[in-house]
Amino acid sequence: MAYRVLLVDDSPAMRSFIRRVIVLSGFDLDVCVEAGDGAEALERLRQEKVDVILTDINMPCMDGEELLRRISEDSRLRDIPAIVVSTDSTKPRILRMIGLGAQGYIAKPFSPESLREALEKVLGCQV
Amino acid sequence: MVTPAELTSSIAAAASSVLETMFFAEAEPCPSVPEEQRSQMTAVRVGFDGGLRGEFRIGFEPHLARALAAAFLGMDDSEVAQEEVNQVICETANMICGAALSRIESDQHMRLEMPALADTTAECGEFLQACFMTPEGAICTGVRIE
Repeated sequence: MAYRVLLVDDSPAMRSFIRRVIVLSGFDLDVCVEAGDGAEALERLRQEKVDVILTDINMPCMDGEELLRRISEDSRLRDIPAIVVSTDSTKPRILRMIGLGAQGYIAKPFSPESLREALEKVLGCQV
Repeated sequence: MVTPAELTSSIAAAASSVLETMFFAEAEPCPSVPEEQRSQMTAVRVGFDGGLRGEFRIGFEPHLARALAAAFLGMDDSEVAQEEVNQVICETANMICGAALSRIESDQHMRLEMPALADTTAECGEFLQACFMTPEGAICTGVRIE
C-alpha cells in the first residue's frame, strides 16, 4: 500500500531527513506533504488527504500542541493518526501530547528503527 | 539544583547521542580547542526556559558543519548549499540542547527558543564549556544558567 504522509517541522533539513528515513525504511510513499508550522499544516490538510501526520512541537506561528488541539476539534481530521517527533522528551509534554491525541511520540535524536516502528504501529502494517 | 558537573555531563551525553544516532559520527571529549580554530567556527545559540532558564551555544568547525549537513541530507559535501549547512547545524543545536535539558529536568516544563546563528567572538566567560573532537573537526559547547 502506498501512504500519504504530512510532515510538519520548521526545519526543512529535518523534513528532508524524515522523508529519506521513511523511504529507506521501505514504506511506499505515495505523497509527502510538508508544512513549516501548524497553521500551514491545517491549510494543507484542507487540500490533501493523508494517512498519517508526523509533527514537531516547537515551531513558529502555530506549534505542534495547538495543531493537535485543532485537529482533535475537527471531526474531518481527528481520525488521522499523529506521531510527535520532538526534542522535548519531558514527561509533562509527552503526557499533554498524548492527551491531545498523539498516537506515538519519538524523541529527537531518534534511530531510523524507532521511526519505522512508530509508523508501522499507527498504520497497522509491517515493511 | 543542577550542578555544573551534571550539566556538562548531560550535554556531553546528548551531543554524543545526537551525533551517533542522527549522523553516524563519533565524538570524543577533548579538554579545549585552540582559539585560532574556535574563531573559525560557525556558532548557533538556543535560549531556553522552564525548569531551567538560560542559553546554550555550540560552535562547529566549517569542514565538520558541511560534513554533518551532507550526512544528514544524504548528499555529497560539494552539493550542500551554505543555507542547508546552517539549517542542519541549527537543528543539531536544537536536538543537543533539548536532549540535554530533557535528561536533567525530565519532570519539568521546558521551552526552547528557535535556534539562531550566533557570533563566534561573543564573550563566553559565564558559560560552562565542553569541547569534542570528531574525525572531521571540533565542536565547542557552552551553557549558561540564569
